[in-house]
Amino acid sequence: MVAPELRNSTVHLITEISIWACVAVSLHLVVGYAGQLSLASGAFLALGAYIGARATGFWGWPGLLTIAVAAVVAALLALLIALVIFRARGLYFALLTAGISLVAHGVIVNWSSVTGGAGGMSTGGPLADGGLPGALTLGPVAIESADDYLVAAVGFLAVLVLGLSVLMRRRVGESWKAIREDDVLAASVGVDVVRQKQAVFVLSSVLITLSGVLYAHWIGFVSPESFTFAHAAFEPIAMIMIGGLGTVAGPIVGAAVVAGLPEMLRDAEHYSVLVYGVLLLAVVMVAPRGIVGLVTTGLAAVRRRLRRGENS
Amino acid sequence: MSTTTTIAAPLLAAEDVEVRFGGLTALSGVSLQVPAGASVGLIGPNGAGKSTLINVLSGMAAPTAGRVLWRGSPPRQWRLGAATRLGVARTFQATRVFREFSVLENVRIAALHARRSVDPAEILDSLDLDHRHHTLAAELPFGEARRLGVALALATAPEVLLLDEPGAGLTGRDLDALGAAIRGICAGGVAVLLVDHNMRFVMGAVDRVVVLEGGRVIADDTPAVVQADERVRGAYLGRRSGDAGS
Repeated sequence: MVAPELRNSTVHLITEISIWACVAVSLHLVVGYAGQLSLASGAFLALGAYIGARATGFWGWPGLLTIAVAAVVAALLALLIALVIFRARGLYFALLTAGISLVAHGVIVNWSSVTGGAGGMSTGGPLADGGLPGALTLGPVAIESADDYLVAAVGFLAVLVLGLSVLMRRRVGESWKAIREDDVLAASVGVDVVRQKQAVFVLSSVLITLSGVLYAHWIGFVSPESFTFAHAAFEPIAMIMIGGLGTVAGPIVGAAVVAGLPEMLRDAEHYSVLVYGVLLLAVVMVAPRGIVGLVTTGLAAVRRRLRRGENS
Repeated sequence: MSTTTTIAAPLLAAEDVEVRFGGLTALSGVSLQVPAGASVGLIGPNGAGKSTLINVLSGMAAPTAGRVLWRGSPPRQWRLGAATRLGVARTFQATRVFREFSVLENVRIAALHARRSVDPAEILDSLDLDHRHHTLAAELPFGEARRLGVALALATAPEVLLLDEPGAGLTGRDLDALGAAIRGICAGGVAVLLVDHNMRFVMGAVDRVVVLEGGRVIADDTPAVVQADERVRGAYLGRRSGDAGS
């Protein structure tokens, strides 16, 4: 038996990690396949969260409509950005996408008639009415309790991982892998590299936006402090780097570490930033392929040693 | 014999192409034609502009003046990738393969956007790589990695194949295997533009040779005529002809 309080906090922690893992897995598409350091996740996470909070709290939309609208809006916005942004490379790309997240944060704070400004906005409608957080309804299913959100978050992550692994075996996924390996060579065999990178960015942005919709409903309340640059744009990148670039497990492990740390260091929350800063530094210097890379290299070494032991 | 009154336009052509990098002129007024099914050699000393010309013809670099013609007219956009999808494939001077994939996967990926369906196994067979299907590309010996580079270009089902020094660094059997493969490609009806330093290798594989020197075409004829050309001998072999010796 687990004490109820401990159980609650475990449910909360796994839900939180799962949602961030969705963000990191989605963002990993751009970083891993288009090979670009994107810091735009903060903007799309906020987009999804605010559309979600508005739609459920103020317009009373069913969840499926909210999800569809959020996806379409995100796709159009991402396409518009992608048309311009892939002219830039490397540092410029990172700076441009960072700018997008910063601008989004500014919009949230200042466009208070729509976003609630610094005070934020609830999925339960106007704060003055004191309504309860609204449920995310998916057809006949209403996601409402903490356990519901746990299932939804883990389920979304599972669908993402499965869906992407199927996609990566299709023609389009093979093209992305080719681009990741060598984009000039990929172009030379007929892959439309720019268009494919744009497609990756759009897909990634839509998935991050949907994670945002889920996040807002789970928390029940959105405010600018959830979408600061450090939290919503930098942390997902840190997750990918710490977990390991180039694998499915990497972003998930990274999300567990980065999103889990503040919970584990709750008494010293301010130090958690310091801890994962140091962790990030350590990973970059000691294990450039992240924790997952470190583990697979370690396992391979152990296996080699065992085999040598058998042979002798 | 007139060379201007061709019945059909050449498949791929450069017309008065000029490429300047800042103050440096890499190509100047270069015209070159690759008719359908032809095999053309492109030779010249280091820095003559051979790779730049290949880059222009493959859409990797844009000329600062002049134009590329595909089937007699300038294409709307001529970029690496778009050119491949129209039928102009290229290889690279440095060995370039998808290192983390097997040999067979490499060719499958290259065939994803092919203009018609191709059989990866058949292509690997033609390049003497049939025993390497499941070898990781990164682990291929040098000579075979170079041939895999050619296989990737072939997998796009090109009408014109631009080979940028495919024989560089190859000797003996590897060079022979490559030469045989190139003759096989030509025999299959694919037009080839072959760039190489090894004059003997080029002369044995093509039926026309274009010589570049200092970014200009100094000869364009059959291998026999080009080989006898004094200017070519001077420029390419580093020997000065007769009175220009001082």
